[in-house]
Amino acid sequence: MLPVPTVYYLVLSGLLFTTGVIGVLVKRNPIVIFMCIELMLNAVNLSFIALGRHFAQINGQMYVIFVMAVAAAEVAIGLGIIVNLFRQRESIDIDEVNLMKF
Amino acid sequence: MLNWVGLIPVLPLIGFLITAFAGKKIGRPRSGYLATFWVFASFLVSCGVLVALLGMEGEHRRALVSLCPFVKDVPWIVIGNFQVHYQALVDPLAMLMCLIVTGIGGLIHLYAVGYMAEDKDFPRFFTYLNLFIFFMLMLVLGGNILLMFVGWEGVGLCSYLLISFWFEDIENSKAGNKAFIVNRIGDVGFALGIMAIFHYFGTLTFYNPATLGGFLDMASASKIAGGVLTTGIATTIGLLLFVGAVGKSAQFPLYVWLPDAMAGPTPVSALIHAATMVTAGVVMVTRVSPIIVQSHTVMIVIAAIGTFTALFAATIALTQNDIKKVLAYSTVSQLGYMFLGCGVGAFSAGMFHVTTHAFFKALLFLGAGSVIHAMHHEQDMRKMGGLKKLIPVTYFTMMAGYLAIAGIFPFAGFWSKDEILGKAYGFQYFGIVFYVVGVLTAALTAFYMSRLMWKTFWSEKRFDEAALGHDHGHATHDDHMDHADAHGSSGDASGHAGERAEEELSHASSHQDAHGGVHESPPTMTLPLIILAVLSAVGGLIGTPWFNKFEQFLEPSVPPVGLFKPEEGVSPVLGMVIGTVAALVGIGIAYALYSKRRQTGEILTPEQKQAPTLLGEAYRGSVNLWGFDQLATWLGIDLGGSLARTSAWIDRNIIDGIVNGVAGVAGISSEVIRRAQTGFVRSYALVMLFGVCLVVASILWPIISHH
Repeated sequence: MLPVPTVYYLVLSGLLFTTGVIGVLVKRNPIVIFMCIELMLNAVNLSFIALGRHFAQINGQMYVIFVMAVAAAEVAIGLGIIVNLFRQRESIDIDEVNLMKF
Repeated sequence: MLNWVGLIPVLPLIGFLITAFAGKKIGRPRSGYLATFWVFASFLVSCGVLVALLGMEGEHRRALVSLCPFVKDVPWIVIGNFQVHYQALVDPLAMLMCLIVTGIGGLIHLYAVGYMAEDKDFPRFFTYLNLFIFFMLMLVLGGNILLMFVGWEGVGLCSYLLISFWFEDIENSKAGNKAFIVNRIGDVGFALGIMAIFHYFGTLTFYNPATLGGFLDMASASKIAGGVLTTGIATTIGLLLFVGAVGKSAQFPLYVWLPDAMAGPTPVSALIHAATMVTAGVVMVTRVSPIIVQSHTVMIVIAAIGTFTALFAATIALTQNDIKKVLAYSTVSQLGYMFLGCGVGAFSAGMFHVTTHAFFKALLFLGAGSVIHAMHHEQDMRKMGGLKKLIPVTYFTMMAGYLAIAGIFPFAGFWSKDEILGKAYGFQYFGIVFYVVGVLTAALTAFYMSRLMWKTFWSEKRFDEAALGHDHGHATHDDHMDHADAHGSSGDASGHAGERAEEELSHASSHQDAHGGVHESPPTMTLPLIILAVLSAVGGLIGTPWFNKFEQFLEPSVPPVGLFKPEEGVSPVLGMVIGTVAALVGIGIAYALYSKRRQTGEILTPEQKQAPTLLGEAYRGSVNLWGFDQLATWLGIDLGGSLARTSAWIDRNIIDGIVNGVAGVAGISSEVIRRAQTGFVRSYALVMLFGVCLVVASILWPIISHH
């Protein structure tokens, strides 16, 4: 059985990443934005692993572990922020979080 | 015996500590006698060291020993190759000054026991005097120029404390401040000179007989650390140090503090402002003479400033009415002579004049103090006269001082002044000018001293003896006449008499035989007068041209200078004849003028003083100190003040303007830029996306276009 060509993975990774970027830009719910960010991270993870297999190197898989660890930490903090945000304002609409301006 | 040198300054220091902490308990006059004892003890040790020094071979009379008694070596500052040890340089110059300081200082201490007997701050006075002696000994004994500087500043401090001793009177405090501030100007020069010495020589030690590594050892060999001592370096160092000497020794233009320093008690005027401290500049210049002689420029400057000061101060002394002011300007003038001597390279002649001057000027000041004491603190000579019979001991001793300063054979001043003038004549540059001005000054000196004697002792009595101590009780110790309106109203300075005068008055009434009348001073005052009178009479015989023991003694400390043309100089005898003629002319004119005016004791009538004639102008010029104080005020207050105001304006408007302007620009630009912060998170994300695209494009573009 022929292996799946690397370029397929990369195309999929690009599609996932673009989906994530568009989601971050258009969504107003921070939880959805978070999911989109996770989507972008995992798109990158996918390309790492694919390229790691393509070049037969361990580095790709190594970086994926790192990215997953950082993403987990980031989610923990991010969700904490969102919970607090909701407690403060009874709403989590991202466009209403606009105190940091002139 | 040389190891005992450390004791010389320590003994007065012990005295200082005792009087400072227990003076009030010990009481008067015992605390005064105790202070005197420590100074005389120091004098005895100095004599012992001198004997030890004389026992050495002429050339080897120089030793660097620890200044801490019985401790070998005490480092003071050790930073890398900057090494300063607590050491004394024992050589003829140092020991000569030690003898003058402790000997004459001791006599003046003794005198002060009598003079200050009624003062309520008696122990404080002796505390300061002992501290002064300590610092002065540090100055002359210091084995490196930094220790000398410590003493230099220390005597300045004591001078300040003693000038404003009667600080309740604002004028005295002002005089103290003036002395202190004017001296700072000179001290800046001295400090810079010290830094220059360390920069070029790498050491501050004067001489190091063991290694020949002192900076004066090097200067004698015309070398510096790792190079040759050029004329430029010698000029720089010499001029900087001379600026210090000008301040301390009251030379033109920094002399202005010395006449005002007469606000201090008279023993202070004698000790600090005539006999010892003010000669520190001469001592310092003589000490660093190996550097000075390397630069003819410096020598000419020193000689010129000295000569000009001698003449300038003598012309002012002609018209002063305050007996101490006359002597103060006379001191400035005589210091000018000393610098003339140093400047023409006759350092030993300069030091000889320091010595004889210490005798006769201390005597004159103490005599004047005795007169003032007798007159119940009246200092205006116009209100004296006829004191010859009333205070005979003071009169006869002052006669010796008068003849010495006027330069009459064989009194002390005659020999030293003639030696300086003789050497000045043989000076390579403008020798004849220095000589003529010097002789003219000698004649002026004889005149104004005759005037002083005439007004005080020889003329008719111009005061009511019975009223003394009552009417005149309001005159202060030191009536501070305002120079601007000195003529006409000086001496009537009854405004700032204050409580002290009243207090003095109440003491005076209980004073031995004094019940308002003129009285001779007590023995503690007359004894020093008599000793100093003997020294003034015969003290010059150690340095006659035919038997110049003094110069031989001092030779290891001062280098021979090749700037003379001795074959063209005046012969000693001719010089003496000229000097004597000048003195006699001065005395003769004074005699001719005053003998006809026994009654008033005034040469010029009030009309003549006011007249717009040359004579009147000259008189007023002299009384007004040739406008120099006004010039100094204008320079310092008016010009300096407007300079300060301009600087303040520049600081407030330009410097602060730049700082505030920078802040303003930042504020205005932030006003514009902050509009970019909309607060919408998603717009930030969009901007970030564009940014990422730009970065990625800029990285990829070269690769793509390459293919």
